Amino acid sequence: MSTQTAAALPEGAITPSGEIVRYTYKERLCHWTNGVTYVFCLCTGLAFYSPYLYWLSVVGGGPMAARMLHPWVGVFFYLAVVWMHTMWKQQMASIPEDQQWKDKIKDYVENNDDAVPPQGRFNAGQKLFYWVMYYGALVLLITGILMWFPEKWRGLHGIMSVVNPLHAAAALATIGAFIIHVYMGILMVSGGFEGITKGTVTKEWAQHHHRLWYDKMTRR
Amino acid sequence: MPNENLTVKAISGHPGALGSGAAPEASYEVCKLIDTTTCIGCKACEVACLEWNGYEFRETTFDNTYQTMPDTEWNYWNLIRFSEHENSDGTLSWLMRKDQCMHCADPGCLEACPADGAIVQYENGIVDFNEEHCIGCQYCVTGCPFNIPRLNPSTKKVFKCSLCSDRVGAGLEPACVKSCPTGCLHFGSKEDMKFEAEKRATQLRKNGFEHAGVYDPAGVGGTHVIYVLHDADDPEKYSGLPANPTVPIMVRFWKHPLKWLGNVAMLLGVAGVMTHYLRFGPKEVDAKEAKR
Amino acid sequence: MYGTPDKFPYVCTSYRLTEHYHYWTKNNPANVQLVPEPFIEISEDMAKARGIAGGDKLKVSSARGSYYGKAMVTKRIKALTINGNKVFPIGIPIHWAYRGIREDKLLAEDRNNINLRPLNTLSPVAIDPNAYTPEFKGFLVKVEKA
Repeated sequence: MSTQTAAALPEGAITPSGEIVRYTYKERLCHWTNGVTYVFCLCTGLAFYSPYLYWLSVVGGGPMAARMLHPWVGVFFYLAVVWMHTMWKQQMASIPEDQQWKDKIKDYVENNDDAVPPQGRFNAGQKLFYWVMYYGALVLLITGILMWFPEKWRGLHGIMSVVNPLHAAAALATIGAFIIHVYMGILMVSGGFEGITKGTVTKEWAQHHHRLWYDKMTRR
Repeated sequence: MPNENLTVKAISGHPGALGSGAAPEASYEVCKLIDTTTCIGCKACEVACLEWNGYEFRETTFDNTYQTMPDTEWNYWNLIRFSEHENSDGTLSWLMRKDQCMHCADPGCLEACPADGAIVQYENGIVDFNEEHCIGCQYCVTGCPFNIPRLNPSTKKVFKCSLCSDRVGAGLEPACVKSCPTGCLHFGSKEDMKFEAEKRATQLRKNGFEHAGVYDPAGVGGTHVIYVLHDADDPEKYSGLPANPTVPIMVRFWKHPLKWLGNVAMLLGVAGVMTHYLRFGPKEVDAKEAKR
Repeated sequence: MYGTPDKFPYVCTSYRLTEHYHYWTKNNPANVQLVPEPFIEISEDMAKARGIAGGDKLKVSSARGSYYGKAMVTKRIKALTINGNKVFPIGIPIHWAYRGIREDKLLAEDRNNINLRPLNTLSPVAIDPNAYTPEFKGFLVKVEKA
C-alpha cells in the first residue's frame, strides 16, 4: 500500500480491511463544509423566520450577532456549493438508469430493494437532492444579498416585499430536502454516514446500493 | 424606548401572549392632527424634534428648494416636504406637508419585524422602535407603506418618529406640536382630532376647496397621525403621500400563510421521516451479497 | 440712483424667511441647518431664457451696489407684463450679510466668493412719504452669472 492513510485514498480503492473507498478526503471535506455552513444558516435563518424559533439565534451568538453572521456564512455556503459543483457536476447529470429507478420509487421507499434497478454512484433521489440544493442556494444567494444591505438599494424598496418571502420559500424547499437527506443518511441507509465521514463502505453495501458504481470501480 | 407609563398592545416577533405590560382596559387612542392648509413651512417642528430627541444640528447645502434635505434620516425624524404643484386650472399650489411616521393602527413595520420586542405598539396607538432589541435586518422598511424607518449605518439600528412616547407617557403633547407657531399641529384623542379635522375640512369645502378632506387611510386600519389636505382626492401630489397605503400583500403572505405552511411542512417532514423509520426501518444489506 | 430699465431690466423684491430673523440667526446652528446659504429666486422662464440652472452662482447689481447668491429656480415666480413689456421679477431674502457660522467657514476656504454685503446695498434710498418705510419691495437690478 502507499504511504497514504486509509482516509486519503482515491475513490474505489480497497482498504487493508477489505472496504471500498466511497468518498475521497477532498469530497468529504467539501460535503462537511457545505453541511456546517448550511446548518448555521438554517438555525439562524429559522430564528428570523418564526418568533417561536427566535431562541435558535443563540447558535449565532445572539440575535444581533446572528443577523450579522448569517449572510457571511451564507456566502461561504454558496462558495462551498460551487466547490461541490466543480467536483460533482458531471456525476449528478441525469442518465437513462435514473428514470428506471424513479419508476420503482415505491419499492425503494418501502425498502423493497430487490425490486429496485441497480444504481450508479448517485441514485436519482440523491441527484434530485443535489439540484434542489444547487438552485435553492442560488436563489438564496441573490435574495440574500438584496436583504443584506437594503439601505444600499433604496430604489428597489418596492420589490423587497417579494424578495423576503422568496428567500424564505427557497429556504423551506432546501429544508424539506435537508430533512429527508439527514434522515436517509443517518437512519434509513445504514452505512451511509460512515461513507461520508470515514470515507469507506463495505463491499456488500456498495454492491447493494450502488451496484453500477461498484462494478465500474472494481473492473480495473 | 419602552415606556412604563404606556400599556403595550402588540410586540413584534413575539410568540405567545404578551405577559407583563399588557393591561385589561385600553387607554384612549391619541392622535396628532396636521393641518397642511395652515402650515407655513417654518420648520420649528423639525428643530423641536431634534432638540427633544438629542440629535445634533447638521450642515446642509443649498438644493434649489426650501426643503431642508431630500429625505428623513435615522437622526432626522420629521421633514417638511415642499412641492410646487401646477393645478389643472392653471393655478399653482405650493404644498407643504410634514412627513414622519404615521403610527398606523395596523403597522406594517411591526408585522414584518422578526426581532422579539424590537417594535412595540401601545394601546394608545403609538408605534415605537425599541433599539435594544433591533437586529438591523430592515424587514420593517419592507413592511412600511410610507417608507419611513431609517437605518443608522454604523450601529445598524433602525429609527423613526416615536410620537414623543416619552412626553405622551408623562401627559405632555409631542415636541413638534408644542413648537408649532400657527397651531396647525393639534394633539388629543383620535376621536377629538377626527372631529376637528372634519370640521376644518367642511369649512375648506365651503370656501373654495371642493376636494378638501381628512387623510386617515383605512388600508392600514387608520393612522394616529392624520392630515387635513386641500385636495384629499390626490394625496400623491403632497410629495408622494400614498393614496391608498396598505401593508404590502406579499408581506402578509410571508408572515401568515407562508410561515404557517412552512412550519407545518417542517413538522410533518420530521414526523414523516420518523414514522417511515418505525414502519419500514433501515435498509438491510446481506452479509454476502449475491451477484446478479 | 434708481437705475434705468435699459441697464437694469429686472425688478427685484426682498422679503423674509420663517427660518431666519434679521441677521443674527446666521450664528445659530439650528437656523443655518434649515436654510444654509443666500439664494436668489428666479422664475423658470427666466432660468430658461438666461441658461441659469438651480444652484448657479449669480451676481445681482443695482445702481447702488451688488449682491451674490445661488439661483433658486421656482414655479412660484412668473413674468409680469408692465407697460406692455415682459419683465422678469426676482426675489431675494434679506438675511445674509456680515458673518455667521457658515460664512466664517467659507471665508477660510475662499476669500473672494462670499457675499458679506447686505441685500439693502441694492435697494434705493427712497421712502414712503407717509410712513417713511424704505423701498424694499420693488427696485431695478441686472442679473449676471458670477
